[in-house]
Amino acid sequence: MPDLQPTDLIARAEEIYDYLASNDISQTLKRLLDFVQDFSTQDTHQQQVITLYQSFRVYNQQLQDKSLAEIKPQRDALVQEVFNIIEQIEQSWEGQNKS
Amino acid sequence: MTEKSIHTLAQELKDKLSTDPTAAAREMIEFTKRFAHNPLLKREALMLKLDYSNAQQEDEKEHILEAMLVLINNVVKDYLQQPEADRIETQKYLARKQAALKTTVQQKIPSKTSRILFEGKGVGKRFKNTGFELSGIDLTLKIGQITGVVGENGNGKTTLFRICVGDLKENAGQIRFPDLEQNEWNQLNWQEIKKHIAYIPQELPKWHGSIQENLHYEATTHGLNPQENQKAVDYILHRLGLKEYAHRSWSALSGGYKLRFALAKALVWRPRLLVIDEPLANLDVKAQATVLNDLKNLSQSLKYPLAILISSQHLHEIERVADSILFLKAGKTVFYGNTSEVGKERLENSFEIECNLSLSALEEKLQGFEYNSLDHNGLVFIVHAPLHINSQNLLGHLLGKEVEIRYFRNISQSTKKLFVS
Repeated sequence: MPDLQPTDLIARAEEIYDYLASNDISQTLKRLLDFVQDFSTQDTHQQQVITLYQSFRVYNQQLQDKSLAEIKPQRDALVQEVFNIIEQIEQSWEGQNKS
Repeated sequence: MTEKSIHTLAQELKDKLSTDPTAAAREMIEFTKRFAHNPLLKREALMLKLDYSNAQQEDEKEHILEAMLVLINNVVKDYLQQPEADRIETQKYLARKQAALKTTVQQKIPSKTSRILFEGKGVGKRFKNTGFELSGIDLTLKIGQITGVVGENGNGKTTLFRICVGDLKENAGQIRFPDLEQNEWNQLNWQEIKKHIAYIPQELPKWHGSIQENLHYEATTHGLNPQENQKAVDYILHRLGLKEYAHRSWSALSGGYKLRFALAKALVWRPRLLVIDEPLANLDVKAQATVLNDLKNLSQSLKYPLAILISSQHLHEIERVADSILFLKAGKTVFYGNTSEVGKERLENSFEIECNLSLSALEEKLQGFEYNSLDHNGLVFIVHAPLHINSQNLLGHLLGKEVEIRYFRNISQSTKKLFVS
């Protein structure tokens, strides 16, 4: 695991994407929770990540009985939520950067 | 980047998809990050990689590989659609954006990392009844960093920890907590300092009620208001993978989960110093890696960073995450410094080997090979060799002699070498 500078927002977002692409959902959500705690000013973001934990748990249970094709729409929605949270936070910092 | 080279790279990637799809899927993400302007293409690349990891049936995999080919073409199109000036500047723009955001974060959330939390100079403690003496210990704990304390049992690790947390009074040397209070050496307000220190002893104390109730209790007693309390408990339960166990009691948890709970209980109120004695003893290999990675990440939190002092007999695991190492022997410092400096001034290299040979048979196999000495510590052989001899040399020689090697590790730059020397 490469050393990351905690203040490097984009590198930390990339770290989360890397865990996601490696199908390491547990580590993706852990680091997303850290990302939210460090960079988000909205209380709702932590709750959104916690909801994702629960949703991915259900998804993993479904994956044992169903093929990927059958539950892909649900999985894609969860992954999009990961992207959305990160992008919302990135954009809020970009806004501060401009002001 | 010329148009020809993006086409060449795209073609190489397409070729690789048919020969090594897993590696190609990884490279496709890098390719997309590098060339695509449209952020949706990056999302799609990540999705396809994830799909490929999850796909179990061959027709599913085929379908995903076809989608990857389409994506590669779309990335090339997206790149070529940009005006040439933008194409050249993409990487520079991204680097500028990254640097600017980093600066903004640093300004808004000033980093506490690297500030000195604890400092001890020449710390010592003598026990009259046993005659054991801890002496001359210098130790500096910095916020955002992990300090590992290693050494055999009975060498003073726990004594040192108890001094650091104020459970035991040192009778030599000086200590202070510069980041907690502006005090002089040894004039400590322990009542105030202890509000910022969490200590997890080797023997975990029993507790009553459920995990969740205990976490709320800890947060309340450390002054978190109800809203913060709920947020902190939710965070730590999920962060340490305890949510499914939140309603369990002490007796319903395995040793590994009891430790995780102790960590949650210690971290929920956001201490500035975590002192943790032999946490890896009851964990399997996977859980050890998880706990250490979690500690590393949590210590470097931007909002709530902390200094961590940890002891363990699992040297390689500790060395992987610790920023500095203190090696104690008979109550004295044998080594203290950055983890990267362990073994820097060594006079020889050392290698651990496990194989199906006796000591004399291995000596025979090593004839003609340049080495200084060969030992057996009851578990593994240790070959000591001159500094110019490396792992490849030794492994090459032994494999050439058809030695069946079960385990091999270069311990030249590990504190393990201090145990065997």
